[in-house]
Amino acid sequence: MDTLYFLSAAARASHYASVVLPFGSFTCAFVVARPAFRRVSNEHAERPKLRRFLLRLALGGTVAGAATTVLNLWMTAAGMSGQPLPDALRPEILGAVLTQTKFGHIWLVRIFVTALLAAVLGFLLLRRREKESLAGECFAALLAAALLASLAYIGHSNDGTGAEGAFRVGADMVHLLAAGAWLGALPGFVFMLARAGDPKVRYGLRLAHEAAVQFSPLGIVSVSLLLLTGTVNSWYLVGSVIALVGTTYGWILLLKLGILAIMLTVAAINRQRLTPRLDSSSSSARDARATLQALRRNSTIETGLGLILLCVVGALVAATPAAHEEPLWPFPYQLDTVGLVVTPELEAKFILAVLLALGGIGGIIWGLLKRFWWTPLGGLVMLGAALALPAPYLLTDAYPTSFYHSPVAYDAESIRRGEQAYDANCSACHGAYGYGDGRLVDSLPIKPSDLTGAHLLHHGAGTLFWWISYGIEGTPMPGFDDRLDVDARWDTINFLRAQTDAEQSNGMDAAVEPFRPIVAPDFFFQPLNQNQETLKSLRGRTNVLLVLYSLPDSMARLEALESAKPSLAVLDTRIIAIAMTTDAATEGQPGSLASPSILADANPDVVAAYTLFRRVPTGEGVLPVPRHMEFLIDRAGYLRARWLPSEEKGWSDVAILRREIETLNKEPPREPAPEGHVH
Amino acid sequence: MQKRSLPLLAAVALALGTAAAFAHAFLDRASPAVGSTTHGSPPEVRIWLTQGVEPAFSTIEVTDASGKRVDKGNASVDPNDNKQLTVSLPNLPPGTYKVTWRVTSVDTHQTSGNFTFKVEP
Repeated sequence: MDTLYFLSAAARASHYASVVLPFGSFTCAFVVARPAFRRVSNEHAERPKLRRFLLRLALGGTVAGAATTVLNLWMTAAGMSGQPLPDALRPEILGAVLTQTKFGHIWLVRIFVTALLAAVLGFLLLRRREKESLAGECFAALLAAALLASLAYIGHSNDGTGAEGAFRVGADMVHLLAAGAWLGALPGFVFMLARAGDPKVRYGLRLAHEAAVQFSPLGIVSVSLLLLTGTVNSWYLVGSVIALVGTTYGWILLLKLGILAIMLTVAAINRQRLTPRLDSSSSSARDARATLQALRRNSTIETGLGLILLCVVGALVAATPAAHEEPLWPFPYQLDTVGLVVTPELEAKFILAVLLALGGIGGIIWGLLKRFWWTPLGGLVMLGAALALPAPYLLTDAYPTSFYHSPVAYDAESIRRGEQAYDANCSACHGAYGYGDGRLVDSLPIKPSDLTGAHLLHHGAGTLFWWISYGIEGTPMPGFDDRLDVDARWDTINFLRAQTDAEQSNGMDAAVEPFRPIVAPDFFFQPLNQNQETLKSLRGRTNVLLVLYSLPDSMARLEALESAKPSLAVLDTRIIAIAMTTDAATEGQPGSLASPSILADANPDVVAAYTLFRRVPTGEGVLPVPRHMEFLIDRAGYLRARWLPSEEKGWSDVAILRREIETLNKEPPREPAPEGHVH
Repeated sequence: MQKRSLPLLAAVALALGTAAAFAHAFLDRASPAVGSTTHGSPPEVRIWLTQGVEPAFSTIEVTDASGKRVDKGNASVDPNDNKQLTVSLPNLPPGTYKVTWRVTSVDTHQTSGNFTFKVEP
């Protein structure tokens, strides 16, 4: 949040406040004033006065819109060019922004509309006779609507593409117009109420009453549309409750909603209590006058709140949308139902909580209907107790980074770096293979955890990041933020994930098993004398048989696979063979293969990452690294089968391998492994 | 890991996944690939970004290991796809090269980054 941000927010807020006025004035004229005058007196003396006020307000807003356009262009130019503010005003930069960028073109159109609208408004103000200018007023209203609605093209709702993008822009346009119709009509409404209080005005009270009656549905429709389209906007720009409370954008949005709630309360009071009392047929003249004063005061407050709201909107529009940021979780707890174990005690508490909740809600409704003040209060207390009862079971500790995504991709390179960091920092307590049996175990009051359990990743990468960075309070686990930089910590987490996956899939054999989300780590590979490729680039297209080999042991197998290459290609399967070691023996051999296209350059990252997956369940502990391993990776990028020649016959007969691949191919298409990291 | 739920006034929490559009243009992929080794000198460096970028405010350049600029200076956005930025290269001797890019997305946000690639004979 630097200076440029605050200035941009101010520029946006002032522009929005200006551009809301023209459209709002016409809304007031057509929806509030016209019907009100029709019911009271069409030839009323106030009519031309109101018309002039509204036109002047619209023109003022338009001129302010032009001035704030310059401000906004200046801020945009500074942001796009990276130049400091004074330099960004230079004609060549402003000119480049205006004429050579998408944003600039939109502003050009808006400047044209602004100028045209100002001209039409000026013309309308100069004409004396109202009746002849209806066409002109309609035209001006359309221009004002275009000026307001076009703001959707310079906001974040314009990020999408295709039909979805058009829908988002459409929703934002409705949002802008609804806001303009309501907030922009308020000044005109206040003017009418102020004039109606003047004793010299004929039928003042009746006029005020009719105006208030007309304004009410305008407010209701606008607010309904605002809530609906606001939800659409937030779905895309915020995306989750976590982002709502964990980002600056989210907090600004909550502030906007808070102000809106206050405005709606005032509007409700106006509608339910004050407007009916304005009707002089049902209340005394003095009572009606007092009500008129109250209504005018309330509406002025609403207008002021509306202005504050638009300032908050300026801050919102200038901020990075919540969905594009890593959320910083502000609470010490989070909702977590996965680890829940249902006991009879918990069941009893849950039933009690439901009963309390029902009683509480019933009490609140009863109290509101019967207007007892203490029943809703008691109901709220019961509701609070109902929520507090199951809370200890449903909440777990959470940390600021708990909802972070990893900025480091889950690939072989990262896993290898993570393994090195783990060996150096973690294995002393957590053991060489993650079982929690390191050499320091006996000296620790609390035993280090076994990191190979299925629930490790359930904690979330962000929570693991916090623990690795700052330790776990109340345990001997220290923080490593002074020893490992941020990327090294994420590498370690990637390694832990691979280690856990390896342990959990230790029963994997040469037969393709039912699907489990064991992601095959991504890697670069360079087929001999060809360009480098990645495993990820093959996703969605082919299965992969990854062969880790050693020479001379694997020679015969490589030759067999080479001859089998066409029959596997028919089954959409690519063979990638990578040497386990890069010693001299390996270097010379590949040339002796018929056409060495299954071979790729030696890659220690791949070897380090994939040899992790050598664990077997027979209580032998972790095997030493075998000389030959083969993995079957499906189209979606998941590990599905593995052959360790030392353990079973497996795919030594290529026909069996082909059968397993056919099983894979029969499966329905699956979503590729989700992108585990963010940019 | 992240559950997505309806914000604002809705009391109902839905669990759905949505893909949020990114307003900042980040590097999606590159050719030559990030951190890769090419056989022979590539004719150009082409980067794909996650959002369209404005040609007037986007640059890309390639420098050698000593920091000297080696590209042809004709950085341009692909006229058919404003998510692709390219710059041509002369015949480069073997070595490590650094690509530095700075772009402004079509909704005015600036991002930048760099990566290296190796050229082998």
